Amino acid sequence: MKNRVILVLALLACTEAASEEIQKFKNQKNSEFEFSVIRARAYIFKAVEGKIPTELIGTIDFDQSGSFLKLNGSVSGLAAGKHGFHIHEKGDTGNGCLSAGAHYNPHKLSHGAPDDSNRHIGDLGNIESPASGDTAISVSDSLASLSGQYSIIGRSVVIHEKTDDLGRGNSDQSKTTGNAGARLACGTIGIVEERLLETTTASLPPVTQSQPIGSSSSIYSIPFLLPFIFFFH
Amino acid sequence: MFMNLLSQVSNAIFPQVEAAQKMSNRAVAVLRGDVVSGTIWITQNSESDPAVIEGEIKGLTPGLHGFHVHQYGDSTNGCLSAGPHFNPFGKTHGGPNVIFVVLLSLVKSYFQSETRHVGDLGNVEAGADGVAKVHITDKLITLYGANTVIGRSMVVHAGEDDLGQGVGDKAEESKKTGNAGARAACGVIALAAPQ
Repeated sequence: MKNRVILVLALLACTEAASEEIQKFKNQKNSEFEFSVIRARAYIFKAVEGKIPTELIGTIDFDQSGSFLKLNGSVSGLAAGKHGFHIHEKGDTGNGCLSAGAHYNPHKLSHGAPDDSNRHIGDLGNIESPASGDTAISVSDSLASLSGQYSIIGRSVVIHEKTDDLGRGNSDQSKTTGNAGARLACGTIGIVEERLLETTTASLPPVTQSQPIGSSSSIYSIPFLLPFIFFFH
Repeated sequence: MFMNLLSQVSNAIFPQVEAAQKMSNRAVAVLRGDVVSGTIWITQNSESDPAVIEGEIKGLTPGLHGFHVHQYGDSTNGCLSAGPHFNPFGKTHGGPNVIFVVLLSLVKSYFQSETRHVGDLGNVEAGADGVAKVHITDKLITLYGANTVIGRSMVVHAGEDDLGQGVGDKAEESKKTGNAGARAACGVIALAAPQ
């Protein structure tokens, strides 16, 4: 019986139509069970002009709960005041953190405040350092996420020299960088814990390829009919 | 034709692959240890291309050193926090996906004709100066899709990986770690600018 099932599956995969059926079937099933990152951590290194950083100045932990992302951590040695705090597109911390690229912005929107709807995914606003420079970081966000198509895993956190104007400044740069100035420190976001999550189709990002309406009822037809065709042949 | 079929089946199982194609074709891991350090680049132009892993590791003892992708990009307790070798196909899930995963692994094992963790990259060899020049081409390591190595760790070990061929009292551990010993240096695999 096992051999027959494998034979049927192999035959299925040989035809274009059948593989489409599998595709739909898998899309459906994958939406019920998904392996997701629920915790991550970034080690924050002090930027070194033109080089890969070596001096560790802090850590930031990421905890994902549903669409809610919590950042907690501490970074030392920052100047007192506000510092722009962003997720950047790349996780490469080389060349004085410049290799991290621009703010993570897959939807090509304008730079903004964390509570704006028109913002980069990476726009997390500012953190504030006390006179001692030892800065506690506690930030929440519901746009940046550790899993899914627009995951921030493998990208980086960057702490800037100046205050992020949250897109409210007068210069052109305000809508792209927030005028937050040079990059003081950065760190790659690495996986700490994964979990097999049960999710619903509704919570997933929209599927890019179009699927004909009503196709879901035909999902099981070919895989389920073929064994019977073989059996009665 | 068969490779086409393979990629179709694989796309069916991991529908996020297509979306992830837009990601960069390059990643970098900066390895940090007490005495060992290095930089490793991974380049893979598309999901169907092999990955090229290259770079340099210094501060090693001369000879062979196990070189692997480990599951977590974490170094809270040094490189131990990187967890075990990255081994996504070793996991068994319940539910209807299982039969497809089994089919895929059968097809894959037919082509690879070897049993290994995805993260098993064998050994790198350091010269008398303690520097290992790395240049590995690999079919299982990928920057794309559900089994991407992005955000996980690259680890170089203090000892030689016996590639699962250990015998006697070394046999059991050989199948898990390759008896490669302590972790000399590690680093998170980070997305890098495309090349």
